[in-house]
Amino acid sequence: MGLLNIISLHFQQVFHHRLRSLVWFFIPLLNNLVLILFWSGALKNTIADPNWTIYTATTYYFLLTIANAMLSSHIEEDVANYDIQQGELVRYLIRPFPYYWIKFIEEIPYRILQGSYGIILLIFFSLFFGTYIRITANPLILFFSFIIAVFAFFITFTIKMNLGLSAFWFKDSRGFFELVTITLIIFSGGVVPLYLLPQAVQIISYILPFSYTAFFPIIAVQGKLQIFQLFQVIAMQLVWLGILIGLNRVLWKKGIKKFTAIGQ
Amino acid sequence: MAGSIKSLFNRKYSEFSAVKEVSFSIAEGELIGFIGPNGAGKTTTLKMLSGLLYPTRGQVMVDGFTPFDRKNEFLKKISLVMGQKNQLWWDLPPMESFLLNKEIYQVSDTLFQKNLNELTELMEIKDVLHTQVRNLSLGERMKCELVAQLLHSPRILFLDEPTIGLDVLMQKKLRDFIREYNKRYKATIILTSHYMDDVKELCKRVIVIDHGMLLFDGQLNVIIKKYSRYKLLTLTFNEAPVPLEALKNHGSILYHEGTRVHLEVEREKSNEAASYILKNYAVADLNIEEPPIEEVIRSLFSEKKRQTHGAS
Repeated sequence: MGLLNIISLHFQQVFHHRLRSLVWFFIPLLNNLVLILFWSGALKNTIADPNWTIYTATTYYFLLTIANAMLSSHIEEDVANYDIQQGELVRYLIRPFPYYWIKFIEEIPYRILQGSYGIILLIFFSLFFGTYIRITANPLILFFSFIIAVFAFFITFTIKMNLGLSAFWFKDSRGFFELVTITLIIFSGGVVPLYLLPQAVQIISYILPFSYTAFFPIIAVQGKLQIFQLFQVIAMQLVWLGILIGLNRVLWKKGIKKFTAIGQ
Repeated sequence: MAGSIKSLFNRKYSEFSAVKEVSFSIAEGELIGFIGPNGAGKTTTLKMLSGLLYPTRGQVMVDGFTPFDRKNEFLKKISLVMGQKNQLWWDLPPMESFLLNKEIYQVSDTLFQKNLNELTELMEIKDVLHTQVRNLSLGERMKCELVAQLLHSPRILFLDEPTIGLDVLMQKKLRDFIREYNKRYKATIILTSHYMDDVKELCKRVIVIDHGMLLFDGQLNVIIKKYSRYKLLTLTFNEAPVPLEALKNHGSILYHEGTRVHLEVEREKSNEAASYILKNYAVADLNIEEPPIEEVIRSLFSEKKRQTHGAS
């Protein structure tokens, strides 16, 4: 009950800035609309690939918009700049609540709100252009897709949190953050689905954690994975989550000893 | 320019100790003043005591806990209030931050309601509980900060410049509140402040540090006796002219206007001088006061500095 109250209080804070949240939602939406336009032109003049038609492409980019809004965390700069470098971490440290979890709770309302914009848009679009949106109707696959989506959020959150914690050692990590973000976009299927990439790149991307943050949740909802493949995805997500949380603990334990809370 | 290029290849780092050679212990229920100039190490010490900073050397124990472990049982017993830091949600009313703290500190509904009523009454902020924090005055905000930090009934309070930026009236109200909280809940309070009035009115014991080193730890009146060699006599004579030349035999005149004179007299001779003046002149009013505490602290610092230079 206490935890639910903490989450609902954070919802109030986020709802106060609902318009800001809407503007941030439009950024990935516009990016993906441009990609849909590009593919609608490109696919007219190429030999039809049953895996990649205008319908699957439109569905993929709409789902990618929702994944970007709902599953992709952006806390690294918050953690690095405000909390560690400007000392805001002080107000979290004096409370009997773990920093990782309070930041997680702070992030949830943003993701739910932005994801809701995406879902509303998808429903609205489906009403007029229903044939362009093709997602699975199998409830079991939808259920496992939901689990995959939850783990996907945990993975992006922990990756970004770990990036932010690097500020305990580095004064300006923005360049490094950008580098990781671009890598994440490419290897998570943020430009094109990973199965369209060259074989070698596909293999690398299936090993890295990034593909489990957007690409796999999307193709799961599209119904492109069998049940046993869904289990494989969940297993890989759990492995990566274990590694990332382990890394998080090490970074936190070592980094917090370097925290100076200067000027606070 | 050359230095910048050189630093690309060979960067030098130096270590700086913000606090060193500071040892003290505080009994339960004490209200201590922690004073020193800017950069003395006051806030660093408070941060170590509250578990924010990891002490590279030495040992810190607070109520049987090592603060840096930040165990939940320890964090529920303490509170750190920083006058320069806003810990409330800026866009929401203070009540929402109070409710958040209630959940985080796992305060029961009954205790929360009791504490909220008591604290908001003491602080006189009942009517601003549902106003956005951004729309509150600095004084109201500071009061709300204090209430937010006290809702879980902390037994140990670290107050870092709690009256900074407040007007005189508000400073007085906050001081009254701190005194009352200490008395009512037997809470241990460590206070840092640049306003000596805070320290003078609240603390019997003070710890003075400078450059991260402890200069004095003891009763405030002992500092005053030890480091102020003078007392201030404020005299109001029945009629002008006042006997200035005769007064100069007892000390130095700091101020004179009409029938009013401020006379600085050596501490040991102050009673003797007062009785002489009362016996020989028509005096309407006489006050013997200690010099301002700022001056006492200043003379403590300069004496310690002299001793350090003398030793080196």
